[in-house]
Amino acid sequence: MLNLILNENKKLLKNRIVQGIILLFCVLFIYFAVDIIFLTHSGYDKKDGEFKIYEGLQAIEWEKEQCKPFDGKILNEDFLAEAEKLYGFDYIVSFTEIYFIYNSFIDRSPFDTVYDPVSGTATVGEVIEGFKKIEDVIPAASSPALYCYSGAYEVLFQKLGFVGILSVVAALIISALVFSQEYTSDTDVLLLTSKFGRRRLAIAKSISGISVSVGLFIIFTLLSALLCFCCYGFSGADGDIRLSLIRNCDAKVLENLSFFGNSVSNIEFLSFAFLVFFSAVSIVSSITLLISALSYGSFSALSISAGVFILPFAVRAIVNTYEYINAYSKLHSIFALFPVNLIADWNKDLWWGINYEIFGKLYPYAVIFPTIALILTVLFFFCSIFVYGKRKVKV
Amino acid sequence: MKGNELVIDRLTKNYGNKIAVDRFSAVFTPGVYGLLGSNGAGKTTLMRLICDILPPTSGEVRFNGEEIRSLGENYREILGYLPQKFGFYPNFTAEKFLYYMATLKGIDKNTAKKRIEELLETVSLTDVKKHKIKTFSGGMKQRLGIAQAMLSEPKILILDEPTAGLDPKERVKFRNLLSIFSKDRIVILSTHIVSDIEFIADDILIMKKGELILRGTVDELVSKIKDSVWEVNIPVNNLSEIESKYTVININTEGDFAVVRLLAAEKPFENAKACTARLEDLYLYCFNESGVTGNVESHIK
Repeated sequence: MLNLILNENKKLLKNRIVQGIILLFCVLFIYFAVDIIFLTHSGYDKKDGEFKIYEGLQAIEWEKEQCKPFDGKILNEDFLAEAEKLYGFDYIVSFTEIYFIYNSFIDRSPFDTVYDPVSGTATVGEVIEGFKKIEDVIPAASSPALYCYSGAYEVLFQKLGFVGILSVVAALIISALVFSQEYTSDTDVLLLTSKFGRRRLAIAKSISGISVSVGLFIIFTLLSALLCFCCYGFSGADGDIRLSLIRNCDAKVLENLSFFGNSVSNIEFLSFAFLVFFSAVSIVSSITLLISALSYGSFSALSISAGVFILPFAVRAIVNTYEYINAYSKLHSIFALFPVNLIADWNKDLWWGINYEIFGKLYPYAVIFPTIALILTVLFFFCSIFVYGKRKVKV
Repeated sequence: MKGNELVIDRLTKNYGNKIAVDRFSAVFTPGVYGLLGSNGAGKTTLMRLICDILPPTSGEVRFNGEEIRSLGENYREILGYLPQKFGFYPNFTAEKFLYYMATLKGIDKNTAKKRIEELLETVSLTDVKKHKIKTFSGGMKQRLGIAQAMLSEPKILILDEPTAGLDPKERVKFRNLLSIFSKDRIVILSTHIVSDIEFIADDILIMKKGELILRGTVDELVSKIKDSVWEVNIPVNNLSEIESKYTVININTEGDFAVVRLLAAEKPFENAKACTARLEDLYLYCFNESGVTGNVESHIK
């Protein structure tokens, strides 16, 4: 069986389309590297009374230096006072996108202008006020917010979004090829008449399809992580996500989840993000494998599978505004479980804004989605084996 | 290998109202069997039914007394199949393709290595084993196809129109290969080219519209029209008269005259010459290549 799986992996990796996808990942990785090393945020230094522009790796080093005084300090009045003291002049910054708020005390570039889509731009005074409001917004947590420089984790989370989305699309394409390429290349007849050409081959192909799809995601996530950690450093694992990647997160819900002992830490958040995308890639791959086993062509397998996953958006488009608000709001928590929502909403409320009540306990999206996705992955995996094992030639 | 028996028992395959294979029955023991029939006769469907890649509408195929569907992997282990449309992976080399097929056939690596080397040598593809299959000619692909069919040293070898698309030189090479591979196994070879099987088949089955209409050795089949084959030169203008009165096998027009090869129990014209009956005559007659309908039975002595 191992030989069969290895052979199927080799066959898949020899496919021109799969090689094209790998090339796309490489291009994305190169883009990440260029972005971080050369194009990353610039900062300026006011100490000498002059503006100095830092770019790329220099900007990262400068930012780390600026963050050092605040290491470990919790978000409290002293911190706010110190931040206000540092603030020498007005500039425009957004406060609704809380991701930028804390960094606005560090990165004092006059060139960074981020607009609040709801209320427009804000002045310094409003930023300070906004920061004070954070303490009101965040429900009381059992542990105070812990600050440490988390550049690597912030950037990795963004990159993970790109890698994850590309991996989901790649899983769709790769899995569509697994069975259907045998029909398009007329090799299905030969395979079906060989000793292991049915059920065992189906198992090998299914494992191969899922492993190549998931493997690409894992490899490029690890490469991106390596890049981020090399450039930004390894600090920040225990850093509080509420200070850097804050969303409408329910701290109580977060505290129910604990892989690493601190559910509101960067490492915890990243591990959930990884798990969510891993699950999405797996479920997309397994459903597409089943459709590939049923169909006689790669294009039809890809089209049907893409259609299935795009369905939630089609529904949204068809339903009119009023009905959308009513119907969709009721179905939102169900539609959220479609992997395609990751593509549309990956950087927004999706992660923590949707909670599911199960037997009186609240569980966030980041737990429910992977659980359902991985169960369905196993189910569809066995379905595709069954379907291909019973397959007869196309007449 | 003695004692192996493949029994086809009233095998039928329908596609809606169309009957592709109609109550086909035959018994095969080790030897070479030629399945002769025109396009659409049902040969490929029959081959696929024997290989258990198409479910029959009724009837069954048994190997050594056991139904092949219940044998499953055990049946496929002793089966070698070269389909009519031989698919391959273009970017695979010949050697890699055979290794891949060997894995699918459950052959261990060491045995596969030895067997692949031998087979490549036999089919004269050793020099190009590292070349990609997409660079191969039609004949080379067919030879690779028979090599993969022979990988597991099958007891049953099914070849579906293996010489289709090959030039005469390649067809001769293929026939020679078949002679080597056919020892001690059941070989069923389907074709609509008579010369492919005329000299190598022990037994010939003629299939028409899904039915088995004739079976026998070449001599037995040809004897059915022995002394009934004539050739006569007639003016082209008289052709229609000839066609209405006699069973015409072949017409070869040369200017204002035509050389007509026909079947007749007795000498039809003064200038008619008796010809040695050939299998091709029987085939052409059975499959109405000349456009004349007829029943060969009416001419059997």
